[in-house]
Amino acid sequence: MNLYAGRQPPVPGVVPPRELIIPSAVLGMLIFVMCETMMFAGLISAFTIVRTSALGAWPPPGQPRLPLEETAINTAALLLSGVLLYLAHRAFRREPRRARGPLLISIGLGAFFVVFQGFEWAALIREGLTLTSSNHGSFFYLIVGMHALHAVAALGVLVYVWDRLRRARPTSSLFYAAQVFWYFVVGLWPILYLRVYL
Amino acid sequence: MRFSLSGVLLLALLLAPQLGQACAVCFSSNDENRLAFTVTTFFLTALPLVMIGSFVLWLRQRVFRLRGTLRGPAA
Repeated sequence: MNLYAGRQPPVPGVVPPRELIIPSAVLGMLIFVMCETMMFAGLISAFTIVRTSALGAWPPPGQPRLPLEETAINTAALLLSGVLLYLAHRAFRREPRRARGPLLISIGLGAFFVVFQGFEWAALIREGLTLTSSNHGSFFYLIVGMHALHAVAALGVLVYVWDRLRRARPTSSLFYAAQVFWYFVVGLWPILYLRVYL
Repeated sequence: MRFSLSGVLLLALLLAPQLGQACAVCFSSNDENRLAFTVTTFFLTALPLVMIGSFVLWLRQRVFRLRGTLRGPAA
């Protein structure tokens, strides 16, 4: 989007620099995030309806309880990853090379979150919670799995940004777009944790 | 006559909305479930409006800020 589209330049005869209101990569990512937000809103709503219509206790009898405490630690790791990405953003604005350190730690914490969830899933499957064991299992794997898929994709984008920083070819629009994606993954998780786990 | 009958039916449905259940599955004897239907309907209706509204407001603020920067300080 050009700020001067359809407008006269402020100084006659001088063409002002083309100033973007918002980089295209960030705009595209924001639209994507809005679409994904609606998808998760639909999933959470469906889960809420099914949970409240269940007769008796939730989770259904015979189904394993979700690991609250372990996931709380994992949640803290993900939130810390978001904080470190913010620090990377501040460093990037001063000197792009300085963003590499906090960005790498942020990626590491994000990877820890995904791997930890993988172990958690394996333990739950061993305990009998599967996609077909109950509505509880179906919704759990669907909602948390979709979030994990987004986390993996966002980590891929962050690794790509880190690699560009390492090769001294940083792109601010790409860095900001990756930030939007990761903040979406980080910001969504506490809502899912409160709705699905508690 | 046909119009007046439609009007009476419409009035009856407005006065007794339970007769005009729009969705056959959106009913439960469970209060918590009924509340969940109402809350999620409101949530799914309001969320896109809030998101798009916030985005437009942010964009508007950004345009004003950039215009101020490009014009430079007042003499």
